[in-house]
Amino acid sequence: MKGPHWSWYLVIGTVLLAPAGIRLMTWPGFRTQALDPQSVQAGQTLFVHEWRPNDPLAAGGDGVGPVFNASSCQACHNQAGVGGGGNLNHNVTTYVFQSDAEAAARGIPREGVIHAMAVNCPKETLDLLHPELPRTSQPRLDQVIALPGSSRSSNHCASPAVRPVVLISQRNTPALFGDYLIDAIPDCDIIANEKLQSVRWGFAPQKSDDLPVGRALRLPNGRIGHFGWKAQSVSLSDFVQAACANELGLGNPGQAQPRPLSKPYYQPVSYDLTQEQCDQITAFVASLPRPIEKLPEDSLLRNDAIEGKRLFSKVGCADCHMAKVGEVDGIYSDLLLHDMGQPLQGGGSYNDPIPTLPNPNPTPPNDGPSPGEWRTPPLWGVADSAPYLHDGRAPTLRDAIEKHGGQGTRSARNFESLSETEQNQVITFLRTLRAP
Amino acid sequence: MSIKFICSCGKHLRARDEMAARRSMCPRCGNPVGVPSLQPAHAGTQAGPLTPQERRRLNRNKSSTDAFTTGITTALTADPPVPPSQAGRMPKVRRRRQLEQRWYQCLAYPFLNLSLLVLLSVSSSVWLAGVLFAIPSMPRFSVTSWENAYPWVTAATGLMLLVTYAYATVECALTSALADQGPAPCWPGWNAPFPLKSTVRWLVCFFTGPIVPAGLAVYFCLYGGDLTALDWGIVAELSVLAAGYWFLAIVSANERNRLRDANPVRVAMLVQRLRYRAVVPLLIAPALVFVHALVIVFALDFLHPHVILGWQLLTCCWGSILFWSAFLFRLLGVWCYYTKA
Repeated sequence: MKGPHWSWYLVIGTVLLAPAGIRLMTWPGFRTQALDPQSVQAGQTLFVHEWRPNDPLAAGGDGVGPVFNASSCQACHNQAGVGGGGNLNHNVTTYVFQSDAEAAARGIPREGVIHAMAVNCPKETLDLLHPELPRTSQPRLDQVIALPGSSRSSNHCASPAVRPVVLISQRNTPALFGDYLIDAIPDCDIIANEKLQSVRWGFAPQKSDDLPVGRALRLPNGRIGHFGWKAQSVSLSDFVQAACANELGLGNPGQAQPRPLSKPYYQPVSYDLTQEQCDQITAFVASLPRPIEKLPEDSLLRNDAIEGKRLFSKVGCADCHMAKVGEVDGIYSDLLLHDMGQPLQGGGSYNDPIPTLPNPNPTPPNDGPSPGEWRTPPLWGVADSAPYLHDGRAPTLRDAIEKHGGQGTRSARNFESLSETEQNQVITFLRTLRAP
Repeated sequence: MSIKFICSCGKHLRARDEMAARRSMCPRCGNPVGVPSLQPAHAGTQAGPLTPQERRRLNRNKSSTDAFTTGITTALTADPPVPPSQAGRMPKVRRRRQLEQRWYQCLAYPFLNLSLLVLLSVSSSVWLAGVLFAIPSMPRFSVTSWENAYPWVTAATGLMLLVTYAYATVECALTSALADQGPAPCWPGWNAPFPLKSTVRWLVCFFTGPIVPAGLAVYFCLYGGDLTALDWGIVAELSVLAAGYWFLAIVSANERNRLRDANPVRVAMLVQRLRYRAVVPLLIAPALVFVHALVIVFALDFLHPHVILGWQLLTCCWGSILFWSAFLFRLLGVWCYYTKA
């Protein structure tokens, strides 16, 4: 009997192999972008530039403001050199209403930032959000959270009447070192962490109360968030443009500048930054070197650091602060959102549009990050980026570990169960993670 | 010189020349076999006279002529006990059942072992669910240090034992069909070597080929990001390739009870021999494996928020896997028997 012609086998083979071929050709690899030295130089100039209202560099826009938190990038990103983290003085105050109805009733966005400074308009103050909140633009951290030893009377924002309506929190300035590597991590590597954590903990749900099972933030455009305390930015470029707009009030093609709470319909005359300027700042941030892991010279401390690294994994810190994500080694993060429990709750992301229809459902839109969810911050360079946690409430590394709640509770307890010597070894290891 | 011939159970045998045209016993199945004559003009074998020793052995094995001596227990082989009131009468000999002639007759086969299949699926799902719930409270385990390995090893061993027994039970459907055994309840019994041997065979068949596409499918599921329709197509293709090859390799290795027959050449020859029937091991069986794997993953995800429903889904899925595996292996065994050269 005559068999099928060989061309049939060829056709069938091609059809079967085509999907794999297409996928191989479009596989998202780890690719860092080549930087143009001139762009980096121009970006550095813009990064350290002190912006003023109607600044000549503002390309016809209104310059800094009308509401802003600082007049230059470097004002906040300055620890251990240009591009580092910031101290408590530069914390950003954010708010999120528990329901759209409350925000709509006050005619302001559901979530956003209370800016510290303003030009040509009244300052934004907390009492605009709720009459029981203090009339201040820059609340102290101990006003926002219940710090040990702080008086409960000064803790205005945590009062029972206010908490169900609006959540106030602060954000500490993150360091930007090595961000070009985080930018190059493909989405699939972050999603792989999400899947592996689920399998690791017996298919436990992602919003588990105590198991470290994180989730990647899927943004409406289908991409995965890489940057920001809430993983709200997909790329370094998005992150830079959002920061320029929200912190400096420099509107740009990627992000409109925020409108003052007192002038919700304020219209800027033009962008303050062109796309080219945004790309230059991004290029400069991308040129910042990655942090380093520097072992102590002293042999005893060196051994402690090595043992501390082992204990770091043993107690479960490395479940979320994974040493490697994709091709990036030494990052100590999984770039996933983890629920850190009620004590560490904080606001959502930057300015949402003002809700038009009251929605009593408190769930954030697009399954966005809940108040208790935070992206695992990369620990590289952690020794030079105090204070710690999202609002800098932990002045020391030990304090930061002990304040872990929610999905970090298990590791924090394991850390506490270590002997004093072993705890010091873990801290010694963390102190080897230095800024470049 | 020796005479090479094949027993009806598939065992390749060799006999000395002086045994030509005489009768002997198959060391594998215990059945009497006729040694072929050395005369080329004779088409078949000529049964020679039995020696007294052979006759005694034959009488001793008469009640178990259809049994596997490799450790498989079959209800068919056991003669019913003769009640005292009927002592002196001739014992009633059960008629040997014929091998299935039609594919749909094989559907009845899993029902013969239904209680065992249900027991295995319930116990497997209970153990698996228990392990999943215990994982968060189990001590941390690292492959590099092997600290706290005891609970993990216990959990894995229990699951392995259950899966091993399930392998062997399903394989009975295949081996009994290859040995021309009619439909009858067939299970590994308490004979430990048989399930272990069966597991070794399955593992060898897996590691000699299917591990590559299966590993790629798992890697792709984990590291391929959020899977699109195209990605699911690739995972399905890889799963079909892995499961199809695995099925065929197991059948091939069982046919002559030789592990080396799990090689690609033998598998290709088996496909050629099965002709259009090869669509069952190559497409239908892998599709069933793929669907069941998806349902199991769904059930495991479902387990934490809805314990009872998740467990029920898991049990049903295990039961379905065992049922369809028994049916498909029986079907393949029957086809292989009828298409044997």
